[in-house]
Amino acid sequence: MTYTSILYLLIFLPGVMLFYQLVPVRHRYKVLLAASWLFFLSLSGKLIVYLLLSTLSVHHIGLWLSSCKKSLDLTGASVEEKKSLKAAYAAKKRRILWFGLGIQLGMLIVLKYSGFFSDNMNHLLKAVSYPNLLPGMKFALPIGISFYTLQAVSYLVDVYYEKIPADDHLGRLALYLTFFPILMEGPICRYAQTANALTEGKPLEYKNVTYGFQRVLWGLFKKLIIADRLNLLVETVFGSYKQYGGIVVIVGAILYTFQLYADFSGCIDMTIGTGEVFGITIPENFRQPFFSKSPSEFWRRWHITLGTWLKDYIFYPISLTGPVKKFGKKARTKLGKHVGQVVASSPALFGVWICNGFWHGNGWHYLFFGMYYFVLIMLENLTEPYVIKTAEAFKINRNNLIYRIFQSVKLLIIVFTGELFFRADTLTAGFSMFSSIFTGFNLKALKDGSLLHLGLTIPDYVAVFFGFLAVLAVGIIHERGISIRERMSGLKLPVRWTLYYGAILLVIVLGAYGDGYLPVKLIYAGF
Amino acid sequence: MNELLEILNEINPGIDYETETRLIDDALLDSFSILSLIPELEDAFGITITPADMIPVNFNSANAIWSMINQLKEE
Amino acid sequence: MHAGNKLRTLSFITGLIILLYIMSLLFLPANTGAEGLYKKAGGIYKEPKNTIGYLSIGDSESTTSISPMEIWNAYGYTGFNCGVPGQRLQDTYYLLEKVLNKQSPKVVLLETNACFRDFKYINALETTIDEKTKKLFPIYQYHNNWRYFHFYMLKNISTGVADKPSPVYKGYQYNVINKPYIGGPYTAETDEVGEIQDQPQLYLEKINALCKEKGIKLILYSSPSPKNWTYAKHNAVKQFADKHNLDYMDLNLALDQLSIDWTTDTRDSGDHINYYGAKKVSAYMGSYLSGLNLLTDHRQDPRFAPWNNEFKTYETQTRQISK
Repeated sequence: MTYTSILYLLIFLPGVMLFYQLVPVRHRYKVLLAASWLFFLSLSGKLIVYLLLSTLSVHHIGLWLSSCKKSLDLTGASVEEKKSLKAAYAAKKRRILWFGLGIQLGMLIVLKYSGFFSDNMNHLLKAVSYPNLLPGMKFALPIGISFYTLQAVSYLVDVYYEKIPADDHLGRLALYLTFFPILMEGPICRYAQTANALTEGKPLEYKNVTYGFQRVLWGLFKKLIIADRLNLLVETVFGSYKQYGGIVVIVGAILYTFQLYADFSGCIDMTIGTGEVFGITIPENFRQPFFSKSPSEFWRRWHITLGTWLKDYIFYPISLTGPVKKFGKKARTKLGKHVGQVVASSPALFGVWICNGFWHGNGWHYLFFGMYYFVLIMLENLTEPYVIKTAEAFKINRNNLIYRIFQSVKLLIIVFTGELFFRADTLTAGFSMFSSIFTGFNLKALKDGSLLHLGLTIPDYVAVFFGFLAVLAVGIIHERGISIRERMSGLKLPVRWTLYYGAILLVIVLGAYGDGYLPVKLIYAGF
Repeated sequence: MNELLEILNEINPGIDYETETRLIDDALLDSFSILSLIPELEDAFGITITPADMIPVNFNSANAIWSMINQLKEE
Repeated sequence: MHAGNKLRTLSFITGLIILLYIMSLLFLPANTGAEGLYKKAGGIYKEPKNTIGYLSIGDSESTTSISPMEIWNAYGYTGFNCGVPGQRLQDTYYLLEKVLNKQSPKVVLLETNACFRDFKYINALETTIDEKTKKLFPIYQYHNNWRYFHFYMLKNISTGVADKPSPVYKGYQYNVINKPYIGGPYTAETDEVGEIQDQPQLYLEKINALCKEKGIKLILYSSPSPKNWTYAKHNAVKQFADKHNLDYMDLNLALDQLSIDWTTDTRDSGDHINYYGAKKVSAYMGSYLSGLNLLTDHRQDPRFAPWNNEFKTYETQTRQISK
């Protein structure tokens, strides 16, 4: 059962809403929790054991951290004693935190990465002519583990730093980790953002429900009309990449980027919309990323919750450790302020991008993807003042249209190239595809109908194109800060309903599902 | 406070720090400038900033930063 | 919720249902004459009565492994590939039952991969709901027909691409994508016997009984698939075949005779074979079928002239894309 299935949309979700509304307020969170576990069971069955283990350990460790604080008794102690008591307390707290993180990350690492490590070890052993010594280890992954583990980690760290109090309410914590709309693809929520609203049991309200379903419909539009249709072409180009080069590969990379965006942001729309139905505000994950001017801005607008998670739990902690601070000071005194600062931030930035790459999966191409952005963002930081100076010297207004177009094109090329490597089966495949763009470049591909033999027919291209225009239009409107739904609710009822009916019909008719299409899994649910 | 304003102006000039209250929320200070700010603050005021202090509320205005500094001094 | 809002919600939903119902009439295939898209699901029902000599059934391992047109070309046997990707054995059984109302094949080839499909109630539920929705609102099933609404308009733009005759694969899923399998040999012998769960076991027996009743020779076969096949599974199927006196062709143990080359013949690293693999499997199965002496060569039979034409289309289609 996924968010786009009939079972989910017509039976599961309305069923949950009905039960939710029928039970007394203080029991409502139980309906959501039961629904979430049911949803998990339908996707991963027995693997729910891992989830429950995670939930229980997070709950326990959180409480342990806070009881450790309560047991710190400084009354009647001298200044010296206070110091040593505090130090002992800090050390104990740190041990508990690491123990808790060890459980969470341990499960993720063993389940997700042991195959990668054992494979690579075997390659290494083979290279020195040993037979395969390690058994090929592959574990079945519980759905959403990459997402709920990050939420668990953020909860533990926040409790550790006393940003939030430890929660003794097991149900709330369990629901925070597994609320069914966020289970498959996030966004990665913080405890402070969603936990309270989840257990509050707000009644269903007309406005919330209509707004929520509007958003769900928009998500379905992106996912079914655009993403799943493009999948046919993307599968073909990336699946037998050896047969293609030049323009076909360029088209493949561009359309994959678009597929990924429509798929992921479409799913997030459905998630946020479903949350809205129950009166729960789930953080946004995208903010028109393709309108960015630079790679770092792109990552502040694309998969936002992963970016902020990495900033708060990787970037700052690494930056603020003793050795890194010392390194930073040295860099600043030796290399001057600007270069020194860029160099000083490099260890933390490196950590962020290694984690970003690895988080997406266990392949060298994901790691390459992370390093690609690490290098680009370092370069961006390094050259920024010089770019500004050069622009001033040549009297270029950095806000004029031509300069903006130049920036956008540059950014899009960077993003498409990144996604090409990201989607390629292996790093070698990625490089071979990338070089085939130049070696196999031939304008003939545009005329001889090559593009019509990649799995999409002309009507498909037409449907994708109109979908693209719709996404672009909505993006531009949002970029201008206009709320489309507010405008819509101002319309007369017949007009409004016609729009809704039209949109629903459009999704049903133009959706790329059923005969002739392959069912497509949510892309990020696989990470 | 004046010392703080000086540091801020040196790191990222062109912002009216005395009145601005959405330094982080409006992305006037990015994580990169925050990172240059921290060692300066630590040296100037003899404090240690930990990841726990890295929350937007603490950096949204010069006043917020100032009160964070004073709090850390007390500890 | 406010009473007025309740009423509004209710009337919105009622309106939607009526709308979908009306729109469904527009999309029924009878109104468009579109054939291309439903060849997989409904193709077999379009074959004239009692013209099919053999059927192959099963899941995606079946759809991708036997190309009836290849066998037609070599032996003149008429066959149809009724495999459906992801199909569970109970659905295979119902499909077979339905097909046998119109066709009376002499041989049924059952691909065995589905015997080991994890049976999950949730999937069964999902399929049921889907089927129900399709019945209630045919627009859900036939929505892809929108492409034919303005076919004549698009035809002008596409200059000859869209109006090519639709490929005639007789249910075979044509695919030339190639992603090599690099895992090395996978057929080491073992005494272990895999488990066929109750649900598939039941339907395996039902399929067997149905074939017996209709006088059809049931043959079990396993398509080459390093990813799905294990020797333990082979043993389990072998046990079943021996018990019921059925032929079992395990192509995984005949890789040399087939001359399967895993660097070129698989579409997804050893999960399914591609067109090149299917050509080899079809040739092998064809020669096996001819050894049975149950099927008739119809190549010279004027009643089967359409097959010769369809083969020509098939040949140009496959030659063009798979050069």
